[in-house]
Amino acid sequence: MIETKELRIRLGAAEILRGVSLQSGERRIVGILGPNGSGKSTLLKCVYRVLKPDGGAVLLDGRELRTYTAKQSAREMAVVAQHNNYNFEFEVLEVVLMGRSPHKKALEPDTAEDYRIAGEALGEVGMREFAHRGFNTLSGGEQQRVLLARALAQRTPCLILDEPTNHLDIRFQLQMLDAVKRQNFTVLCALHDLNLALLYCDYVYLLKDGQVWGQGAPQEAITAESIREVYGVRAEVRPYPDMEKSYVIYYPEDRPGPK
Amino acid sequence: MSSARRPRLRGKLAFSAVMLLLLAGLLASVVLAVGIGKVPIPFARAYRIIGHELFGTGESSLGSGSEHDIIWQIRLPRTILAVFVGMGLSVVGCVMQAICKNPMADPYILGVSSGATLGATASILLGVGAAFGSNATGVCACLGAFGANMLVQAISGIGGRANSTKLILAGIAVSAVAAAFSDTIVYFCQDKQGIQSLTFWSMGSLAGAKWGSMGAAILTVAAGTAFFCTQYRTLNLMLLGDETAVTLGTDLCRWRTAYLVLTSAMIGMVVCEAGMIGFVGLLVPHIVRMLSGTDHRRLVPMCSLAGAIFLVWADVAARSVLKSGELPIGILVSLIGAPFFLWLVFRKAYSFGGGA
Repeated sequence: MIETKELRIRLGAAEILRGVSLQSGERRIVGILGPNGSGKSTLLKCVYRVLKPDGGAVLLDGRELRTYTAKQSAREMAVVAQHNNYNFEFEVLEVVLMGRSPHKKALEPDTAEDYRIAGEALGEVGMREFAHRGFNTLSGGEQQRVLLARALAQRTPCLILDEPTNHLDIRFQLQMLDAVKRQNFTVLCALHDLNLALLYCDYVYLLKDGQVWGQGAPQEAITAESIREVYGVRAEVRPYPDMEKSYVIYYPEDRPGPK
Repeated sequence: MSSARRPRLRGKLAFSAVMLLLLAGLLASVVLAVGIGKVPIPFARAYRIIGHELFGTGESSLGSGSEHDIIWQIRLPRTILAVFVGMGLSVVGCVMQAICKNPMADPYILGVSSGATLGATASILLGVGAAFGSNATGVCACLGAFGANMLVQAISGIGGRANSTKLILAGIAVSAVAAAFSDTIVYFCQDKQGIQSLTFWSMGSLAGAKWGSMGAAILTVAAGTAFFCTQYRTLNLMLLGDETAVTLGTDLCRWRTAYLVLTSAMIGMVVCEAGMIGFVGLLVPHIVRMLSGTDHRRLVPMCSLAGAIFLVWADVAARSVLKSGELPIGILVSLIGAPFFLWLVFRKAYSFGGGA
C-alpha cells in the first residue's frame, strides 16, 4: 500500500504540492485526477522517487520510502511514466528484460525464468510477436504497451501509472486498463480522461492547485459541480444505459447546457 | 512506422560464435602483424625467436642479433600494446557513450583530451615531471587526463546531482580552460623543437612500446574491460536515463562516478603509453553496434576484441605505409576512419538507433 502524508514540494518559486495526503488501499485502482498543473505528475514523481519532497512523507507498506534502497522500492512498485525518449535502439525484448533488473544481483545473468516472465508480460499486452523489433521503430502506442510489459515483468504488488493512455487510440486505452485491472495490482494512476476514471477506478482523488479538492468513489466524486470547480468546464454526468457506471459529456462554450 | 530490420545477432549461440571468431581473428592478427614490417623476416624465424624467448627452445643464437631485437624488442611489444590500446579505447568509448547518453561521445570527451594535452605540454615545453624518467611526457599526460576528468566530475556535481548533460557541459568548460593553459605555454615558448615534439605526441604512436613499462597499462585495460563486460545491466539503464533507472531499482549517479574513475584510469594509462589516438573509441563501438545491437551484454565484449583487431592492423599500416619512417597512427586512423564513419552514418539502415 502506498500512502502520502502532507506531501509538499516547491519547484523553483512555485509551490506545486501543498500538503497532499492520500492512500492507495489494497489491490484497487486509485485515480488521480485534475487539470494540467494541478500536481498529478509531481505527486507521482515524489512517489516513484524522481523528486524529493520538501515536506511530508511517502509511506510504502507503512514504512517511510526514504528508508528503502532504490532496488527495494523497485521490487515493490513498477512505473509506467509519460514519456520515454530513447536515443539508442534496443530490441523490445531487451527493454522488457530490464524490468527484471531490480531482482538481480550485480553480476547475476538473466535466466530462462527471466525470459519466460518477459515473454509472458509481452503476451499480456499483446506484443509477443514484436519481441525482436527495434523499440524505436514502434508507434507511440506500441511503445507504451512495451513499457507496461516491462512494468509487469517487474512482478511488483504496486503499479504507478502516469497518464498511461497518452498516445494510445481508444482500443488500446481500454486494452491497457483492462490488462492493468486483470493483474489485481495496487494501482495509483494519473488520468486525464474522466470517462476512463469512471469506468476503471475504484476510488479517485481530485487535485486542484496542489491540494486534494475532493475524493471518493468515482460516481460520487466526479459530478457536474466538481468538474466545474476543478476543471472550469461545464459538463453533465449520465448513467450508462445498461451498467452501473456513468459517463461525462462536456459542453463547449458556445453551446447551451447546464450552467 | 517503419519495419527496418537489421542483421542482428539472435541468441546465445550466434553471440558465442561471433566472439570465438573475433578471438581467433585477434590471435591471427597478432601472429601475422609480428611478421610484417620493413625488415623482411620469415614467419618461421620470427616464431622461433619468440619461442626461444618464451620457452627457451631452439639454438641460443636466436636470443641475440638484429632480427631478435626487431621481433622481440620492437614488433611484439608494439603489437601487444596495440591490442590493449585498441581494446581500452573501444571499451571506454562504449562506456562513455552510455554515461553521456550520447552517441557522439568518445573516450576523450569530458576533459580527458585537453587535460592530457596540458600535461604533455607542461612536460615537453616546461620540463615538468622530469623525475618521472624516460616517459615523463606520458606520465604527465596521464595525470592531466585523470585530473581534468575528476575536475569535470566535481564540477558537474555542483548544485544538485550530476546527470549526463551537466557532465558534458562541465567537460566543455574544463576543456576550454585546459586548452587555454596549453596554448599560453605554447605561445610564450621559444622552443621550436619542443613544439614539434608536442605535435608529434598529439598524433599518437605505439612506437614507444617496451616490455618493462607497458605492464601497468595492460593490467589496467584488461581489468577494466573484464569489469565492464559484467556491467551490461547498468550500462543499458544509463541509456534510459536517471528517471527510468530509479524506477528499475538503480541509482545511476553512484555508478557514473565509479565508472568515470575507472575509465579515466584506463584512458590515462593508454595516453601514457601511446599518446592520443583519436576516432577509434568513436568508430569501433558504432561499427560493432550495427551487428550486436545496443544491448551492452554483447556490445562491450565484442567492442573489446574488435577494437584490438582494428588497432593492430592500423599500426601495421602505420609502420609499413611509408618507404622510410612511419606515419603517426592517429593520422592514419582519422584518414581511413572518417570517410568510413561518414559512409556508415549516412547509410539509411543505421541512425545511431535514434529512430529508423
